[in-house]
Amino acid sequence: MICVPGDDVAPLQDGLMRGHGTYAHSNQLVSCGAGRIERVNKLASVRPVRGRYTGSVGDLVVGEIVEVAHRSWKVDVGSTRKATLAITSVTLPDDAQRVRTHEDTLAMRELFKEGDVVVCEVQAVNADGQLHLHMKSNRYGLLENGCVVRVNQHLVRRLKHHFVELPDINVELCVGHNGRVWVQRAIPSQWIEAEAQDGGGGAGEADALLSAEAWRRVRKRHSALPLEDNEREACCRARNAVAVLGSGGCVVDGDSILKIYRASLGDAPSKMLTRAVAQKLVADFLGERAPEPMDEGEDAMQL
Amino acid sequence: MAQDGAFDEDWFELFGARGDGRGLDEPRRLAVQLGTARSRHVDGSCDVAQGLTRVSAHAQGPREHERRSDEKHDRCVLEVAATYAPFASVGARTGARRQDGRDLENAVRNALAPALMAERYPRALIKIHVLVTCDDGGATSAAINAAGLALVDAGIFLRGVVAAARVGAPVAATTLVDPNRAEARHGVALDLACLPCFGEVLWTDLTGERPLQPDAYDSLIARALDAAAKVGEQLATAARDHVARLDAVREASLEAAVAR
Repeated sequence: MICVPGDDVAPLQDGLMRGHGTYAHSNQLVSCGAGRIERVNKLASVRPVRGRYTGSVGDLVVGEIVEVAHRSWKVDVGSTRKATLAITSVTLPDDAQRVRTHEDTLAMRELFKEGDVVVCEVQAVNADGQLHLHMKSNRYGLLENGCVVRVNQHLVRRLKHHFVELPDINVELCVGHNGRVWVQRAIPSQWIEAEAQDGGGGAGEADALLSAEAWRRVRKRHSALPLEDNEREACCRARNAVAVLGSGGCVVDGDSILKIYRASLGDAPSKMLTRAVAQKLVADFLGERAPEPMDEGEDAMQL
Repeated sequence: MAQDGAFDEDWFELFGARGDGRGLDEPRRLAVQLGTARSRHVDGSCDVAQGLTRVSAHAQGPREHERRSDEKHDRCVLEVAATYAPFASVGARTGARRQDGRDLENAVRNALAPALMAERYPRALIKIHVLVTCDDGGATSAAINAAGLALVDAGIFLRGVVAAARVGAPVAATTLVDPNRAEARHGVALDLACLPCFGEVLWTDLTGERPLQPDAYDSLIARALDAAAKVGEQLATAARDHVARLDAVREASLEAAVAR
């Protein structure tokens, strides 16, 4: 059931919990947002389809450093306020485990400076919506030699792996919950294996085969290597595929990007960005599942 | 009909319709479109056309204030910037006053602020930009309608969809719903914004040449509430359709992604 602000969600009975996007008004639970009404047992809430990223703990986000503050960086992730990345939440070079010194505070720009794109995880959410980020997993860190595409954050749902590799295409993506998708050429697996053999193995997680320092070395090597023409075209095409999905309102994940990518192989990547081609790609992707076009009727705006 | 298109009682008695063929209670045709902005800096947008009057509204936010001193610790601040396009009307606005939208800004802000759930966005800023591209009367109510739906499109929490309507009394005995520019030139006109789902009046504005008796005022308010309720239904339907379509496409793409 779709609702808009002011629509009744449910009568307020015993035990009914007010979920996100609702408020109580004289015995009724009323929606204050536009979206789909979701009812799970006693919890009634409204799931929006539009709106800025609000953030929840554990989300993987791609953001841009906008400010280097005293002991933290301010990151633009597209939420209400700039997110904070504290110096204590970042792994130091050489995987040093120690208290951050005054020298570390002065050397922050050597780690990340304004304009850098980073991938991190949400550690905490303030009452006023400010996010605190961390990079404690070894796979998080600086992203270079690629580009960011912005889509509506509701088109990204919780995936098993947010680092997506498109098979046979040599393109790697990092799909952030905040609707920012990082596209780059895939890091050759030989480099990763070489680092792992050299003893750069990390502790624990499945996603982090290497230590943070080893990942840094691999990424630096990757960012220093210029792109070949075919690699550049593949990255452009993948980036445009994400943009096409975003403008068409479709979910962005490895499967959908791959389908749009393959469907667009007939044309140059730049052609995908024209309205006609983008709409056709989305229509073909949805196939019969596409909803009926809205009946314009007499009230259509003569634009 | 009077030369300038104003309401003429004799004409109405003769033909049973106003200058443009409408009945006394008939509003102009309303067309609404949400999500029209293409800029990535705009979070929500809406275009409203009421007859020939056309208004475009863009909403940005919630976002950080530019100056920390402007922040309110427990609620958000609503800022409205309104402009009339230079070609919006002929002759009425000239020279320095031409693009001055200050009255419109105040109207939109005062109408939407009570409906906005400001406590859910502490220390935030919500900005609305309103552009009137064609003003044939009723630009204020069209602007309030457009701005309200722009907020809905931006996913910002409101107590309800805000609907605004205008009624005019060009001569003492007659009340017109949704007068156009020519009809509103004489007599009094009442703009009203309300939450139709609760019948709650949010803002009113009375303009005119002559004073109004209390019971005449009451009847104007009643007519305006009625008109706004009807507008509110159309706005809510347009918003619901827009949201339903976005949701349907998203659901369809979820299936399409995993299909073979």
